[in-house]
Amino acid sequence: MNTYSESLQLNVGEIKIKKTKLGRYKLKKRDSKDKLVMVVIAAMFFSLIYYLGFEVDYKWDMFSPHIAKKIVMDFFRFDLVPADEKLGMLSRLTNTVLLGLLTTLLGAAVSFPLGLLAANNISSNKISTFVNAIVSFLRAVPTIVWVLIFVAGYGLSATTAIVGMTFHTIAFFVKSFSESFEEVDPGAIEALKASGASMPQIIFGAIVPSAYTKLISWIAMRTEINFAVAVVIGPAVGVPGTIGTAINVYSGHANYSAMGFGVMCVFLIALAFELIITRIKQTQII
Amino acid sequence: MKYFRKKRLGTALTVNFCIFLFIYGSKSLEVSWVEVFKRFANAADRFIIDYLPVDFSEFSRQSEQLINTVFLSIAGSATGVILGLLSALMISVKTSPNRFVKTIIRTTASICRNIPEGIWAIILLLCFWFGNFLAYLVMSIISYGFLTRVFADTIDETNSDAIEALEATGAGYWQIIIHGVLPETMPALISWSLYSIENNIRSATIVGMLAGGGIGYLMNIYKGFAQFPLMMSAILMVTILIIITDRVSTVIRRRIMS
Amino acid sequence: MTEQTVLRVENVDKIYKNGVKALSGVSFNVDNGEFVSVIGPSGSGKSTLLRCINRMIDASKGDIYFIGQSVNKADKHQIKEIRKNIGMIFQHYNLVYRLNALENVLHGKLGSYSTVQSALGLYTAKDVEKAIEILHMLGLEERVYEQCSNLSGGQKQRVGIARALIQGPKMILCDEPIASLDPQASKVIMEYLYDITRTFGIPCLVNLHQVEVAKSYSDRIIGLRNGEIVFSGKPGELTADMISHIYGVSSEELIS
Repeated sequence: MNTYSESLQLNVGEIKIKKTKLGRYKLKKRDSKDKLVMVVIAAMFFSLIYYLGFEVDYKWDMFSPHIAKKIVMDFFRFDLVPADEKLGMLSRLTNTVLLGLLTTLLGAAVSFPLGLLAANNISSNKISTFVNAIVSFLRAVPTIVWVLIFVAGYGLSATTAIVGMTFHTIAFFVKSFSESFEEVDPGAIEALKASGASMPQIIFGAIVPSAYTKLISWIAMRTEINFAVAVVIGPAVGVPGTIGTAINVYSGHANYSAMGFGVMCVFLIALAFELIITRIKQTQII
Repeated sequence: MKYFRKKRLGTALTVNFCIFLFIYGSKSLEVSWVEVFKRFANAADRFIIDYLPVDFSEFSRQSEQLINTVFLSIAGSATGVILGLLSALMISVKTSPNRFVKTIIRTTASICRNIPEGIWAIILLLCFWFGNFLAYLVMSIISYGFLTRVFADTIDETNSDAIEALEATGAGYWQIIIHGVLPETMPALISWSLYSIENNIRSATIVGMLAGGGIGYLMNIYKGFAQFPLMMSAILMVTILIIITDRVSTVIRRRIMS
Repeated sequence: MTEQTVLRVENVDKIYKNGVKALSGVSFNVDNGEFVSVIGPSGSGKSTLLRCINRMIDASKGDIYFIGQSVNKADKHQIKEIRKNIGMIFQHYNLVYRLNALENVLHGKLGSYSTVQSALGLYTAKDVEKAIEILHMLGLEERVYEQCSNLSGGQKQRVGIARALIQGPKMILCDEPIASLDPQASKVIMEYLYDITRTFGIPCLVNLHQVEVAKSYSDRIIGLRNGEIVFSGKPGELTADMISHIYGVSSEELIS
């Protein structure tokens, strides 16, 4: 039997193939893309090693295993939490959800006209560039900073939280709304234009219906983000009446079962938001 | 006509519900919108008085902490990438070895992702010390939760033809991953990793305030001592950092994905 | 069973979990140096049959012997050995498109390397030389370092053939190798496959859609219908009546 490997004569000498410095055959010609990928990976590893090696003080003597153990033991002991405390926690949870929802609603309402102005297929080029420039700056300022800024004027209250959070929400929505508007098929706009429709008619007849599902999914996404922000803003700035503040207080009082109950509430709500959004995205793809 | 009536009814209901939610929410949170607008000018005035002129006297200390923030964010992300990639391989439909492992990892990632960074800081602060290490832990946890999910989705979306071919040549599990799955998904994985770094830099303010570490920690001190002009310079620096990272990562992403 | 028999399939059934019966009572042999085509309508079980042979799919019943070794009773290690000895070529080429032609060809040798060795790209010089040689033989010497996503369909399939050849296979399985190619590229690919069987004596089992192509290249043709073999014989014995029996329609209605 004439097997394949026997019959194949090696005459690589005739074929040009490069060798590496180590005398191995070269397997790959790396292009700039490959190099960039390698640079990013190297930068990440370097940062990890540098940070853990030189920036972090390890104080393992301050690590308290008994507290860790107690937290784990008490975390799910919801039976240790009195009923009225549970009720209070749930009302704070409702407040937090409302805080997120309210901000999202307000942000979406304000962003809708701004999004139209920022979309380059609807408004003029100048206006769209101008709005986009402002919005991209606003977006770079973290939500928490907006809240900090408004604490000076409104004091520590839900009002401050809403006003502060709304700024970042608007910046987010104007960008995502205008992108959704820009993706609308130009043919649909042209058709209405040709039939003599006015600008508002074009907007509500062609653009909004076409971008509708995308807008809904952006709003859903932001609701999720705003809920998380509303939770965190309590302990970070000190907004009273939210679940985050309550969790912070309970952790300070070493009431770990109440803390666990609060964290569980937050987790369940966030999970619910995530599942809803996954669902919305799936239906959109189909 | 019936269709239009139904549609109009739906829109009307939605709008009414939103208005109801808005009013009910404002009431329950005790937000008075009249006050908000009335006092807006006042708030702006207070801002100008308190925060301006910007004080750059601690520039060197701030830039040091800003660099710390950058390394913190990337290091947290890197940890998330390493653990997240392993986890994603375990839970992806195409590469998952075991159902039980899959459920455990899915749940862990979901917990990491759905509990906000600030809450993680509060919980972990109870047993760890305040500072860079705690901030790193929090960053790693949120990056892990996020990246595990998007990595698994990415792997699930890639073409599985090559996996079949490698299996047919007698390649082992890890060989299929190293030679088939990773090369095919690499640009997307890098792109998501960059996105996670961006997210971490955005979260750095809050994480620093609650867990210590980086510019957020400094801002917390300024807040405590009511040093608002210094706070303003820190805010400006964070903002510029975020703009720069956004730009850099957009450019890299565009070049890698092209 | 003679010395020459490479593959023996005996009474193989395959029933999928959803209850679909893909194969029933399939038996045939493949001898050394034989070019065997399997034809049949879509859904007749051609792909399933091919994948049962290298255990990409487990057969539900029956026996498969590859060079005397049982395939369906093989353990994990033995399956790996069997797969190393069988080259497989796919309709959609199944390459890793972000890697270059050379790397894709070398994937055929992964089974002989440890994970660490292959991850570091430490292929032996002999294997790299062989890969280049095969690419040269298939007329791809200019494309060695070309990313596979930039190759044409015919070139991609040639890389696929090269990946199968570098295994030093005792048999080659082809799953619709030309179904995604234009006529000209199809001809080139079929010529290569035919040459490989003739020159090196490696038997080829090819799933084909095109009856005419099967007729002009095969030593033997197997006709599958609803998972059963309804024809097995020389190309000359495949009459128009037989074709319409296999496909369930008259042969005039078939676009070959």
